[in-house]
Amino acid sequence: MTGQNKIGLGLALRLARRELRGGLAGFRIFLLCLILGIATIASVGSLSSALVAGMGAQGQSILGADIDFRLTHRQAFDEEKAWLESQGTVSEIATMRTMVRLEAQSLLVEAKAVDALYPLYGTLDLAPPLGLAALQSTTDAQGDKIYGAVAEQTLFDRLEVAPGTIVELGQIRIQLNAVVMAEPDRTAGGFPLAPRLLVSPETLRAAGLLQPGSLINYHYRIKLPPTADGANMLAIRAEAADRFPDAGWRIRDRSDASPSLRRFIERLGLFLTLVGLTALVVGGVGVGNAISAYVQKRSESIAIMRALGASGRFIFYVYALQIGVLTILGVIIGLSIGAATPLAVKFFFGALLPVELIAKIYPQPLMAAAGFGILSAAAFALWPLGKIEKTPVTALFRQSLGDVPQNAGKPIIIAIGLCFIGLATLALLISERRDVAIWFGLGVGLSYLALAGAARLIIWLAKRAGRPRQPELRMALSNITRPNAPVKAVMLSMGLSVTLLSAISMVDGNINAQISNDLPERTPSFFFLDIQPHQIDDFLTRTKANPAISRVETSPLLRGQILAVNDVAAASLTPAPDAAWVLRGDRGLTYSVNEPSGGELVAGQWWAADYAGPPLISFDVDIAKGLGIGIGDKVKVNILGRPLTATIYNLRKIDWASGGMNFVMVFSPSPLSSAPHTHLTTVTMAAAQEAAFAREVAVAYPNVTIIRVKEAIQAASSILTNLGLAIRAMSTITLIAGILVLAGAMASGHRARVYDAVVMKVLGATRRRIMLAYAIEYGLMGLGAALIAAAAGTLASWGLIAGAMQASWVFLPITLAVTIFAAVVLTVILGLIGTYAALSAPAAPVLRSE
Amino acid sequence: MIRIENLHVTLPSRAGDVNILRGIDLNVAAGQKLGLIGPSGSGKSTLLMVLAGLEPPTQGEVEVAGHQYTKMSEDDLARFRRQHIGIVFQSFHLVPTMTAMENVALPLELAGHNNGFEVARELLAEVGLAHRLDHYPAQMSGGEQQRVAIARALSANPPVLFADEPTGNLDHATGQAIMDLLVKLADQRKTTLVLITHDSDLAQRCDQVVTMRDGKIDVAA
Repeated sequence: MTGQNKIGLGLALRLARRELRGGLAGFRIFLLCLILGIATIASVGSLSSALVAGMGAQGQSILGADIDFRLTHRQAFDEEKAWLESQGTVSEIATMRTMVRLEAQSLLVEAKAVDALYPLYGTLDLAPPLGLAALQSTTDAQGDKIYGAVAEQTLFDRLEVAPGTIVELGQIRIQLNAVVMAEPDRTAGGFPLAPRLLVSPETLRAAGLLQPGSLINYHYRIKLPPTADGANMLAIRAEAADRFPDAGWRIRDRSDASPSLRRFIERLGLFLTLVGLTALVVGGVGVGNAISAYVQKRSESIAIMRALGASGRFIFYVYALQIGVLTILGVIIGLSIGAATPLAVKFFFGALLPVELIAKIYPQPLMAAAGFGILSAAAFALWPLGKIEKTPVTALFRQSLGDVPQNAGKPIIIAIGLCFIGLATLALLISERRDVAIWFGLGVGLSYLALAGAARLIIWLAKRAGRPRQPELRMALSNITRPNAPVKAVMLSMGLSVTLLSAISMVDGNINAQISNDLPERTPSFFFLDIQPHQIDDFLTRTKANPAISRVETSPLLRGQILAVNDVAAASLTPAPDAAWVLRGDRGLTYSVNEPSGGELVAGQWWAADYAGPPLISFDVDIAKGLGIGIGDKVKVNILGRPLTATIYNLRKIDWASGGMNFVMVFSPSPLSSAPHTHLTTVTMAAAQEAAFAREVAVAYPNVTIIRVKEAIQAASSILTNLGLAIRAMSTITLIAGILVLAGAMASGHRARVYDAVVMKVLGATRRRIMLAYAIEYGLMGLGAALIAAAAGTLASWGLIAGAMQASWVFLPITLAVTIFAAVVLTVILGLIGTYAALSAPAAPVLRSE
Repeated sequence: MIRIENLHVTLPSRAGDVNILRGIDLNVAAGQKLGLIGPSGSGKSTLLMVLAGLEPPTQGEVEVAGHQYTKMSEDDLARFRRQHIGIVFQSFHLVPTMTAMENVALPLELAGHNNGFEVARELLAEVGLAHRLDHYPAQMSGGEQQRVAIARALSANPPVLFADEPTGNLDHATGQAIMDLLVKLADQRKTTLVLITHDSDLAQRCDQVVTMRDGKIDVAA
């Protein structure tokens, strides 16, 4: 660097400082947009990290152990049990879904049988505080045994009973002795569908629920010596895999106690971060506008400095330094808000969270937020700053950069491109689901371009619309075509926010439509689980005898875990994100002589009815594609503790949205038909008779688990509704950013509007007529933005529903029309609020000052 | 046509309230031309703003064309202006996004007439701008802009015309031409004209000349 350059930069710094002495008045919108976006991203990231860290720190109590071995259908064999016990203190837990009955009611519960060591970590909080003594059995006046149990408050609420009530479980009676106030390992099991019921192992056995093939999970929880660390747990996992390669157990340790909850938090965090990034992009439009307005206000100073010999590059430095300082200020404020969020959430909402978060500063999300903020500020600020460098002195004296359409220089354009590449790279780096980030980025980018194009189109159309005779319309069109008109700012800010909102509304509407309209027509009324082979014929006869039942489907049901594909262990496979769930834990599977309904054979043939050779599998085509396998490949599955290798014989396209019985894997009958298994049966029937039939089944087959589809859907639907609310709330931030940008655009054009309004009033225009002209102007811009946003939002929702979720997508014209209408009304209202000040300005001072 | 009694205007400022007009009494008969002269800060422009209904009086009565301003709302005043008052400003105050013809037609359109453009075309021809109909203010010289402003002020054929330093931003020759035009048109239409000016020669072309000083009418002058 030469001495002259050094002096130049020093002087630029001094001049920048002098300019900033005037205060931040011209930068309010710039700072607010930046702070909003950075604070959102930093808050979401910090909160997500604090929750995940909380899960890590409380891993032992969430998991209920240092390490957990889960087996489905079966208990550990003696050799396995002996080995487990050699590792530390072992507590055995069994979980299953079953029914409790009280007179005419039967209720699905998540039953959990705990031994005397439970819980190994954390505290079971009961009201009254009876401890595990609440699970002991007693005898009644007749000498009959009554088993003890405790349950969550929801169970008491649904049955409308109080502690002390006796209900039926399987073949026995249990007394609900206490309410479970806090169950330390509740979140480890994922999202519960039914209330928890805690019993002793003896109770579960006595109830007759432990039938062969019943869907029961046995957990062997190990408490290691206090000195055990991550390396010990890894060693235990390795030894388990080595000694019992075909055990089929799923192992979790305290470092990742609830992977499903962690995944959920991380994915929600990612999605909300991307929403925050949209807010930053919307805010970027405001950043660009604010700087254009600021530079325009300073045009006289700039012109004087240029006339006195300052180079364009020097002026660029003077203003770039100011923007740099303000960006740092915005980043500091935004990050401070983000860093404080976990603490604030813990303080205000701590009791509502599934895990206790750890409130501290998390540098990684803060750094990501700072990166997003700086890059987006640079990306949007460089363009107006770059134009200073290229603008001739004479044009600056005319005080209207808008009259001199100039492009920034090539280095600036390259720098802007690099900023956007940096933003995309950062988004990819922080995303576990890169495909989501890529699609999101593409969506935002294309919407941005479409809206910017639409803004130009509106200006072009307004110029060519002629000069309407009606003065309000003419004024509206003139305002749209005037230099520095806020068309682009309005279109981009409102358009991007509304795109996001319309996409969310359409996705939400589609999911609701699937649940409330689509499913009930096609889905059964009940799923009956755990029907024993000796019960199935009687059960089917009963269904045939019931005139209210219109359709019955039944399938053998087993559980199995994929251990390997073509001799490559499942853990070493790299499945596509959409197919990864199949390798996670065990899955329901069946065998069948004939091709099942609810799918379509797309490759290979169905096996012969009398086929009795080596085991064959029919695999779902999409999952097979995600796993990178096809016909002829060999899949090793653990079923009931025994490994079974089968060859893929054909591929089926399954309609997962049908809501009926669907299996990723259907085996040829031999040898599974001779393994212990239960039957899964679906029944479709008249709604009015559902309750009576459920009661009849509950009494006749106490071991059978009844899942009423309507209730399950309600449970899922309420989770979705809450999620939808969270996402909508976050999207509102984008809308706030849009409103800020709009406010900024209004502020920069305020002087011109005040002048127009005053002249119109002098000439006899009433406020209503001036207001009408503004309403037409903003209505036209809002309509343009809303139409583009509606199209982009529709496309995005289609991509999500039909593409990512593989569900049938329906166009929802009313939802869309409401979104468009709301967007137009909002734009007009905001526009009118912004121009109201102009309308109320007294005429005399304005006329005097001009 | 114009009647003012005991008019006071006090405006707030950072240094405290400023009494701009301090008891003005004035009458102007229909069709008369009144020249209003006085030094800067004497209250001429404020008096014109009050007469045009753009500045509310603090005290006193203002009646123009038989209408008392004190009883009228802001929108009533706007409606009144478009029917009874034309104003020519020193800074022209044309709508920058409208052509000359649109600017001139605007008061008629606002008044609900559908012949605004025909009248505008005729008036612009009358002020010598037939060739500038579709030009925007920024594309015209100061003199041309002031002619557009005069045409606009007269387009609704108002009985009263206020002119606030109409030649203040123009060179001498152009100013003279504009003044000739203004007086000629006012005479032709028998419009009551109130002209504010620094230039006592220009004021002498009016039927009556009033001098203002310190917010009052200087009787001695």
